[in-house]
Amino acid sequence: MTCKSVQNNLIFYIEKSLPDKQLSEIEQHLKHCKVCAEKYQKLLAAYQFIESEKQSNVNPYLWTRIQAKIQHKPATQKTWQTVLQPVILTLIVIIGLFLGIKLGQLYTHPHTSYNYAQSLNDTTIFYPVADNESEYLLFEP
Amino acid sequence: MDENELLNRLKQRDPKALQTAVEKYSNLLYKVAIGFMHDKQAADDIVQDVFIKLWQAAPKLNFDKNKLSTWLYRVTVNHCLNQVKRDKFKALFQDISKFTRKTDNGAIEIEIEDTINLNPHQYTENKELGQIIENAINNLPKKQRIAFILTKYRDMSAKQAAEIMKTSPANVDVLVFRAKKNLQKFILKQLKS
Repeated sequence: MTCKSVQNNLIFYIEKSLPDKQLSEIEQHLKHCKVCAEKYQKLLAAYQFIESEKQSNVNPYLWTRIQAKIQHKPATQKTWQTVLQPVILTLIVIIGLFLGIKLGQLYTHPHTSYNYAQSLNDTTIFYPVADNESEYLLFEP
Repeated sequence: MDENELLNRLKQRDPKALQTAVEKYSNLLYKVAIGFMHDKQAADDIVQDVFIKLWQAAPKLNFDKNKLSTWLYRVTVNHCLNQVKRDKFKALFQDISKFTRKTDNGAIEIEIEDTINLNPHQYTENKELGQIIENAINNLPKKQRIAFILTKYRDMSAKQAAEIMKTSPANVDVLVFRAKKNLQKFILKQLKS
């Protein structure tokens, strides 16, 4: 068995989830290969850490904590929050849109510079090119 | 008391029923939560929040079959995924704040920490190993991570995990196989460096 195939299956060797033949082949390889044996030990330590995490249990006072929470937090509170939140958000958006439109209207007032410039468009300015020419060039403002 | 009866009593807002649910499921949900959080306190908080959510949602819950446990596992998994995401975001800002400090006039200055002072041997080997495992699991793609935690930490069968993940047992097997391969690769790479 090659080092590569052993190292690819170390995690399954630890879990003993390989066929017996393959397990014994890896076992034999680990006895003779120092590099693979070292990797196996490291992976085993890491995997044992998971096992140790699994052994821990939930806080024995969990129910007391939950009881205290549900007594202080009535179930209807969440319902009101879930209803009110989208309503308030929608109102804010509508007010924002309304204010935006109103502000926009301020800039379209007849005395604003934009409208003054628009009114100039109606005026055509003619400049003579030469005395003898009867044609005039038209300059758009 | 079976799941249906328990749910009916929860709908009637019977605190005794909630206590029974806590006694019956808290340790099972905790195994899932510890797989995601790798921190006892954080896992306890997740389980506590799940039961509070059950209490609040009970009147609206309707299941076709005995699915209270499936609902509890799904809520736990979602809660954990959200919490891990929030923690990552928080850690990012904590990392930034480590290198910054506010001056007297309120301006923010960037400090470059002397990395020579950081001695890796200050950390215990166990803590280091725990960090490697946590990173390895958190680096897995979402579905692989869920499948691995449900089967490895909670010792669930592929069929049970498939029901929670809304997929087929064969798919769970594939996800777990890939997750283990990826974990092996990540852990060996980390331990090497």
